[in-house]
Amino acid sequence: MTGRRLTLEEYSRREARLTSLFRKYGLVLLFTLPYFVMFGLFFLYPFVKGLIMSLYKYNYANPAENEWRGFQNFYKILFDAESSYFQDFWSSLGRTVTVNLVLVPLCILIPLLLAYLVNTKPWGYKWYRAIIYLPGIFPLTATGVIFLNLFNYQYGFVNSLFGTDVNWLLNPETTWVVIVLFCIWGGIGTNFVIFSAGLQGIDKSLFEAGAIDGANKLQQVVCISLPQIKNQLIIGLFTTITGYMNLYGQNYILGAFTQPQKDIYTVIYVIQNQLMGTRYEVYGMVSAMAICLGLFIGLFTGLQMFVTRERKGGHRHAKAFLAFQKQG
Amino acid sequence: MRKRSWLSRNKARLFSTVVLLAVCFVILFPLVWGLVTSFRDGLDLQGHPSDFFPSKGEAWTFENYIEIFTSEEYPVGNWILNSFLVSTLTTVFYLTIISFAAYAFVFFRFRFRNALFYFLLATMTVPGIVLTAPQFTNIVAMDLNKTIWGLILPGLCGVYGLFLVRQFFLGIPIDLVENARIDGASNFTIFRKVVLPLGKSALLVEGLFSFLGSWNDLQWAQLVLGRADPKQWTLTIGLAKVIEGNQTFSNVGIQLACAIISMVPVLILFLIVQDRIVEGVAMTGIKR
Repeated sequence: MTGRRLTLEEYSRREARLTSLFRKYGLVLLFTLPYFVMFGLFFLYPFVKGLIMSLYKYNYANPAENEWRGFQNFYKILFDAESSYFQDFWSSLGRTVTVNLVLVPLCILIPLLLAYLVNTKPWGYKWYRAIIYLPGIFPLTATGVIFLNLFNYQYGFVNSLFGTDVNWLLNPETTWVVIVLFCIWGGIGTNFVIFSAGLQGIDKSLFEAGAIDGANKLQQVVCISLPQIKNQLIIGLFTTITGYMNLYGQNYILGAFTQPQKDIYTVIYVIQNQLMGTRYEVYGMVSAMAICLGLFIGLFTGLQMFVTRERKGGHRHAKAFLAFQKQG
Repeated sequence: MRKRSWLSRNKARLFSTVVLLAVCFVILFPLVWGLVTSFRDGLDLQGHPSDFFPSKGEAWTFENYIEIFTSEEYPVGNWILNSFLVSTLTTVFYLTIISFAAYAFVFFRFRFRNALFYFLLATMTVPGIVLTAPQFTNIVAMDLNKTIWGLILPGLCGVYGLFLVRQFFLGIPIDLVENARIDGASNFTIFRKVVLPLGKSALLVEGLFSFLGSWNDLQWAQLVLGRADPKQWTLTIGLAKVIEGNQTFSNVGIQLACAIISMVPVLILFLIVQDRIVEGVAMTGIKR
């Protein structure tokens, strides 16, 4: 009798647990499935497929021609000086890195300076935030068209404004100048907003304490403001580097009439040209090139993470003091 | 005496105001020039390039706008419609799926919940270009090439939006949700009646990002729709093609009119929710 009741209880308990398990995980599935289906189809699948493609001579129009290449694609791009892919990749990577070396510091320092100025609460500071952010919301093609015409040789306003006689968009060098100006004009908004929010959030008592200890304005900025917004600076640096390593649209629009056009190609530009072309057998090579670029971006951002990492053990003076204490 | 003390008290503010006004002038200048010149006769611009405004009254014209809206070559009406369709559908679908997923990640307990989420975060370091070629063959294989679905669907797997919305949901007091559970509310009811209303601002910000992102997209759109019929293009592709075809002075106005048209919708959107979007961007910087 008792045994029977026990089994019944057990049975109902197990049943309840099962249904609750089903209800719990069924719901989890129901809620997350749409996202994971999309993620699988449009991230994981192409990601893995890209890795595989890069090891083949891959023709997407005629898969029968696919040929195993091993790491030959990568070898050609990275080391084979004869190959046109080698030349395209390294020269475009060189240009991309160079423009990053110019752009990234400017796109951090200018917003930082502006954020500092806005933080002194000048008249109408809310408006400046909106206006400085404004160019970034527009399509690159639209603002690019405006710059294209503003710097036009025949009728552009810039030459007559500064009394210069430069055919800005014909020579690669001057085109790069316009591209950099355009990137700064349209790209500082996000960093500016993030930095100024960070500065606003600093506890005011830190500055008071600093002032009591006799820190001047510059010391306050270097020793209080900058360390306090370190997280924002790291995020800004990260997004700026990844953003401009992927530079494409700006060059595509502003470099439309540059001669020779090759001189304004970034890596993405080279890849995009191959993809937009009609040679379908290059897809393996293109994937390999994209992966190479991805690795370089990973390298740079990894380096950045390493440099800005949270240091354990504190400041060197603190360490020296601890060592001094140990000695007695 | 008083005036001098006011000056010395406000020296920093005054300096900042002057510098920032100058910066704002530089930022707005190209936009205003583009706007004014889109209403200007091309010949007048060529004759008087150093004038900011048209040199005489007759040089103001609506011709450029009339021309792009009536020409066979530039079906701008279709482009606007396509851009709106793509951006709106992307935003609606994306917000729907990520808010469900974020709810599950915050309010359900299941195995590997955090590991799964960190895995998703780690995938954010993969640059988009690595996916482009295989994604394109993928789209061709699914027969979505040259359709707007080829633009919409790949835009729905982004991790960033999920991350943003999850962070915001984490800030919702768990007691509210537990209380609703005790009162017998189902998860769908809690999702609809408690979490969504509280997470409105995060969804708004993410919606704006998503809308702007697909409205402004050029690279992927060129690949999928660039070889399609001009009627199927979005505004950014169309605009890029207009530049290619019109490098003579008489067509400056047409280019600029096209540019202005593609900027107006996002400008209106920005003016309505300007405060929210700026705060949202600021929030993305803090919450990590």
